Amino acid sequence: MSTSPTSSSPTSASTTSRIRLRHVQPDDYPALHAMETDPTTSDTWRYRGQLPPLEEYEAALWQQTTAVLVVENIDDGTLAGYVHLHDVDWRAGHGYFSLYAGPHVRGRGTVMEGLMLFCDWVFGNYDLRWIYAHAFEHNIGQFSSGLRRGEAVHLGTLRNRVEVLGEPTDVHVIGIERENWLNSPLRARLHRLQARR
Amino acid sequence: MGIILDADGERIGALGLAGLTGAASTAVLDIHVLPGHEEDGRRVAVLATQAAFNGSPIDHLYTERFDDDPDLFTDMAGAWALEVRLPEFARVDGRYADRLISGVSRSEFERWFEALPIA
Repeated sequence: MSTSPTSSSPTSASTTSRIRLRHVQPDDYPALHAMETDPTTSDTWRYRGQLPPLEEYEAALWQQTTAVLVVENIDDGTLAGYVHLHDVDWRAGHGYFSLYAGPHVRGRGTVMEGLMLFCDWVFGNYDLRWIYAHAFEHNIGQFSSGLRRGEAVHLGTLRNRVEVLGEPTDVHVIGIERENWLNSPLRARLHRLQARR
Repeated sequence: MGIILDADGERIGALGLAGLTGAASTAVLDIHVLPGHEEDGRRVAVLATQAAFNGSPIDHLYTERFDDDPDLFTDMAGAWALEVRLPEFARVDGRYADRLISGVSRSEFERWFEALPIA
């Protein structure tokens, strides 16, 4: 795994009115592991149906990964999911991110709200120009607001790239560009709301 | 992996076919030739695409290149198609180059091949 000169000094946490985004702690692993046993996502998430046992979870979680940030519900302190930054190419200035939303929060936008904080954190702490994500056909709707507003860009579709439950599935490639994010109205609004609290 | 030789037996390039993790019926086809041998490379690309589909149960092939690399798949226009462009993906020779990912399905290649006058 590559390391960044700034990777040892990231900011600790940021919040909205609903959620907190913070770095994962070893104490979080059992909750994350339990979340990822959800059978409806086991074939499409990073372990492709082969979620390792809890004893091996930490090593698997951090494979090719630069940072793991959990999305925590402020109300009760429970974990909603996590966002991770992985496969970073520091020389080229790009990396990939993935989102995992626990089954209890899907459809509420909680983890997508975490992504907003994550973008601010990534571009505020690392000299990356682009971050990319792969979204399966059934998940692309999660990015529709960001694509419509323009913070995210649809860079293309890898047709029939992977098999999910034996069926070939398209993979959409989403990109978020640094300057575009830093100058976005969404980011400005986020900062205004954070300043008011 | 394979080495590409010209008619005189000189090594002019290399090619490789690699499977994708989590995708049993897809693969990546990489073809590189030395400058000046692009025409040979285009002929090899047709043969390699045909061989990949004929010799394995692959349903979809992909290939990747930077935007300033020669496109060796142009002889199969209508079969191979650009699927993703990653803008300014990496710094190459002092400039940021886009990364291009193209793909072709078995049926698309077969349609293209059957439409050839010699097929």
